[in-house]
Amino acid sequence: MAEPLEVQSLNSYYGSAQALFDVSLQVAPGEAVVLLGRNGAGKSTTLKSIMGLVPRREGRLRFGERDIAAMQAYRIARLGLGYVPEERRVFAALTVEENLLVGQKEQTKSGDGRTNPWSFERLFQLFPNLAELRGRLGGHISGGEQQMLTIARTLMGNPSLLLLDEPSEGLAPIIVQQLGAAIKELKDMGLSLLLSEQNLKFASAIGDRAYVLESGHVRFAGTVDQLLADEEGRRRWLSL
Amino acid sequence: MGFYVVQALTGLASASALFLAAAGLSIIFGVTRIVNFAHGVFYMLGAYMAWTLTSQFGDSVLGFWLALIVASLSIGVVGLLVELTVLRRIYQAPELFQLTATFGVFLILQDVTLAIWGPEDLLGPRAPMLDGSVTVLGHPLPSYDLALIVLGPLVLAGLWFLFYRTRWGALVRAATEDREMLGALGVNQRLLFSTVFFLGTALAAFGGAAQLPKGGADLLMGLNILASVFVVVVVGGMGSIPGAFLAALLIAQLNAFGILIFPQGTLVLMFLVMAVVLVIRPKGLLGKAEGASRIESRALIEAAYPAPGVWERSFWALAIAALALLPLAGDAFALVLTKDILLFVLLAASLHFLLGPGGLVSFGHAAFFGCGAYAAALLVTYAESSMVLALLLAPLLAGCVAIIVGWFCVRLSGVYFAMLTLAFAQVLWSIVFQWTSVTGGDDGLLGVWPDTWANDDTVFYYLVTVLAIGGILLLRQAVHSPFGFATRAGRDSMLRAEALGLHVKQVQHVAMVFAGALAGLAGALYAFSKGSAFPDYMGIEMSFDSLIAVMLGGVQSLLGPLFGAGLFSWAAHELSTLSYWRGILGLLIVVLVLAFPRGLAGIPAAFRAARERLA
Amino acid sequence: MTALLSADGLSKHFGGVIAVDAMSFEMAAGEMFAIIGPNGAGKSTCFNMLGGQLKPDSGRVSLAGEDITGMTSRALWGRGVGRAFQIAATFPSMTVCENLQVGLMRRYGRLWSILRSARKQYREEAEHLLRLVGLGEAADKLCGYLSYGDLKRVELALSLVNEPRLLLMDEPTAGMAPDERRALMDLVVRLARERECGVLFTEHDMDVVFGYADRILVMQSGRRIAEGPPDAIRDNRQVQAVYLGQDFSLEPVPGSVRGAA
Repeated sequence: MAEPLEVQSLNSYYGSAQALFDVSLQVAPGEAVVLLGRNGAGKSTTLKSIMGLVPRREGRLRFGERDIAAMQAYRIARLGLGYVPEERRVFAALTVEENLLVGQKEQTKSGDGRTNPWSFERLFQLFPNLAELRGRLGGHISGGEQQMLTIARTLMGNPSLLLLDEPSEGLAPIIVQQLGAAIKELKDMGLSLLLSEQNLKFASAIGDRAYVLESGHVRFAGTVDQLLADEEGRRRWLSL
Repeated sequence: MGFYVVQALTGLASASALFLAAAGLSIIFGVTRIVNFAHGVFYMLGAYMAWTLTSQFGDSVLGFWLALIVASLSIGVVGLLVELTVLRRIYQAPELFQLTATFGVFLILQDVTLAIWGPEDLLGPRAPMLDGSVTVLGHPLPSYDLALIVLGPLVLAGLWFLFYRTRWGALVRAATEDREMLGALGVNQRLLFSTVFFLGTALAAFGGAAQLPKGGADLLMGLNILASVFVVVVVGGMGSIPGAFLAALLIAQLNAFGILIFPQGTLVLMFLVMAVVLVIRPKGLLGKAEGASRIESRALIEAAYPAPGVWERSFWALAIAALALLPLAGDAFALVLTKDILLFVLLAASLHFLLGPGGLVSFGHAAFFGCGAYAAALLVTYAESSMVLALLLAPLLAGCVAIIVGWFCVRLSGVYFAMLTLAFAQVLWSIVFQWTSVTGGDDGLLGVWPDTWANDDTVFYYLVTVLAIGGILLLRQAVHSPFGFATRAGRDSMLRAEALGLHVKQVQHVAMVFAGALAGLAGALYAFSKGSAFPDYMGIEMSFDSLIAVMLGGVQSLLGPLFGAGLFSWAAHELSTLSYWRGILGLLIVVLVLAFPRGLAGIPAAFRAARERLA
Repeated sequence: MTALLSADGLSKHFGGVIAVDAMSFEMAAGEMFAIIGPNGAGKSTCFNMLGGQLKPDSGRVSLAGEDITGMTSRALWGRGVGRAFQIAATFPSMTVCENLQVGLMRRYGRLWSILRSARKQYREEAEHLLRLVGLGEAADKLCGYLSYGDLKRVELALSLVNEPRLLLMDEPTAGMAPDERRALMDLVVRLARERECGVLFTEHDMDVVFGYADRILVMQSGRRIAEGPPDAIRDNRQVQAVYLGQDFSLEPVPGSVRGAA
């Protein structure tokens, strides 16, 4: 099964500017956790820090038994963390199929010995639109399709924990609904999820627990229901 | 008829070596985004290594071809070592720093080659079984050419298979778009980069090795092939392998036939073709229109050039006072050295206006320096002009050349702009070099001395100092002026600048003319200072020297480049008595770049950071 | 009365793909006009053709009766068209105030001087514009250090330099927090009404679209599928089918079984 992610006192920096201050959070196996907060609160930086994609980070970062605090991104990915970036970052000059191929890791089994359940066919079941686009270039498909592709590409690497950065941003409402259904299906398969969102409605539909970030600090940690009940806090941190 | 067919076939044969080298450069650039100046030297090393190996094992067919392959692979390993020790540390550094570092590597390996194989040109061995010639339509064609003709398409097919039919190829193509994302997907970028660099250098080396029986090996072949390879890669489209193949064919044919029509001007012809192609198709023949390489906004913030403070004003006061008092020391050599340094600093400062505020990387800025020098020298030689008139007209003439060159160049951006400036500089250089009857060719123009009133060393020193410092201060004022803001606006965001009604290309064009005229002033003064004008004044090396000086100083700073240029010019003087001084210079450059990736201007910050880490 | 902006049969193809297919619409001065639609519907292409970043293959655009088809954004600026980009475009190496000073120097034709000092030019006028968009405090901060919401405001101030009669805003509130969105759009509406300036915008946030637009045009696959006031669009069956969807099927159910917390 999936491994737990544990982040303790994470501090991240861009140059001399500190972006995160003592951020602590956990994701248990099979759990869906949402990171909420305004733009610039540090949601994306948190996900990038976990993935090893910020210039400098300090703190305790563990995935299962492994210390990932000093690890490079590619090794973290090989342990079973999958990262879906905010800007999608589909390889525009590669076909949809080649994009998926790139996501596939060399070894047939991932770090913790699970066999990879993902194949092109399995992914095309989850995201039916992609099947007919196999030969199209990544740059020639719509934004919604790119969002599907970038998730599918990450799944090819057989992650046990998926980090999703604002998956609903900039998508048509109807696409957001399809995406929500797909993400729920992944959760039902037993994947752990950590996703950042600005869309509380979308987040609360998927998440079990929530953290709220404000200017790099964790302001709230609790269940999604608790957050929904805390009107005062929602107004203060999320201006909702 | 037969003669022309044979000529075409010879062209095809020389296209192969060119294609191999160009493909290597293109692959490396695609993935690492580094324009690798050291590439030419790997081509040269391939030829030298192949010469050594074939002289041992080259008597049998198998031995000969194996020797070529082993030579290429071993130079590939040298490339790999360079990647591991130098490039790997600077992938995150600004583009210009990477250029500087690879040029440093170029200088080092050039001198290493000289140390190992000596200065003599080496004659290529004959390829066993292919040492004769075949008769085509009544004209002889070396059989080895046939082998070369087959080689090009063979390698092209192999590369196509590698890139479009293997997962490694898909990874490489993905890496050209987004390296970081590739890492987040579990791909070891370092390994990928190393393999790509190995492949790229091995291809260059193979190009050099393969042409050995045809052209031999010499120490100039690295720099020569570099210029041709840039042309091929740019004409073909940066990053496109089939494009490189097509362009190599085109350029090689052009050379083969151009030499019949216009034997002196093949170089000019080649660069003119490049200019025409780029103006019609700014991304090259098969290059894809990709978004202009975005400069990271954090890098731009560093290039903010705040208004001069107290520290800077006092620096200027001190510097001017010191320069004014220098003649009192009575050291004649110090005056000569200071003049040279000041003129080089003026050249570097004018280049910095393009690189920094303008965001325009020019590889050929020395062209305007040289134009200024030749304008002055020609005026004195043929019109018996006075020095004052020559000093007034030379910057104007250099500015006029910049109007023409700039008109073409500002249509392009990024790497393409850089390559086109290099191309024009080469065209101007070849005109000066080959038009012997007017310019004296390699012998230069002599007897360009100051007017009698300025003939005194001290008077001329003050003249140079006043004009050079005046020029430098004018450039600095321009950075803080409305026009300087307009250039920076165009650099920061073309989209926004245009939406605010700015004609960005026009602003860039004027910036080029302005910087070109001041470089011309430096050149004219230099000509009078030396009493002569030589083609070297506008050569690639001069352009690169000024580029490196600015880089060393730090583009994001205003004073840094002045220090960088001063230091560079001084070091060049000091070192030039040593036998391997270019190599030592290269080593210094590499060490400086690795130690201070933000330039000399970044040294205080680097020390502060180190102190904080210790505390 | 002639319309402020009218597009007539605007089309654009990329390779074989039709991005925008014979689009026509008109908008009046002082009007807030929104274009919405799924990703890839052609909104941005349409916008870039109106704003001078792309030339249309066919069709005609006119501004207050003048044909402006295919004009560069530079030429449009001269005719009073302001632009806010989807990804905020400012000059990051300059302070907020200097950004506006560049705009003002251009407006008054003072950009070519080499000897003057730029920092003293039109400083007060720049600060006035900044106060207007609520950035008075940030005048001397480098643009590169601003938050995204503030950058969007700098963009707005920049497009006001030339006292525009038409503002083109591509996703003006993307990436902003809800309160920032409201603040920005309140300001935009005020400017539109006070200065009789037409505002054409695209947006993915439906609260913004339905809260601020006077009229909405819905695009799909490069074509117009509906146009009208917000209420009519909300109730339009076709729009619901391709864009808005039936309301979220993922509403949280209180007390449902959740994973281990």
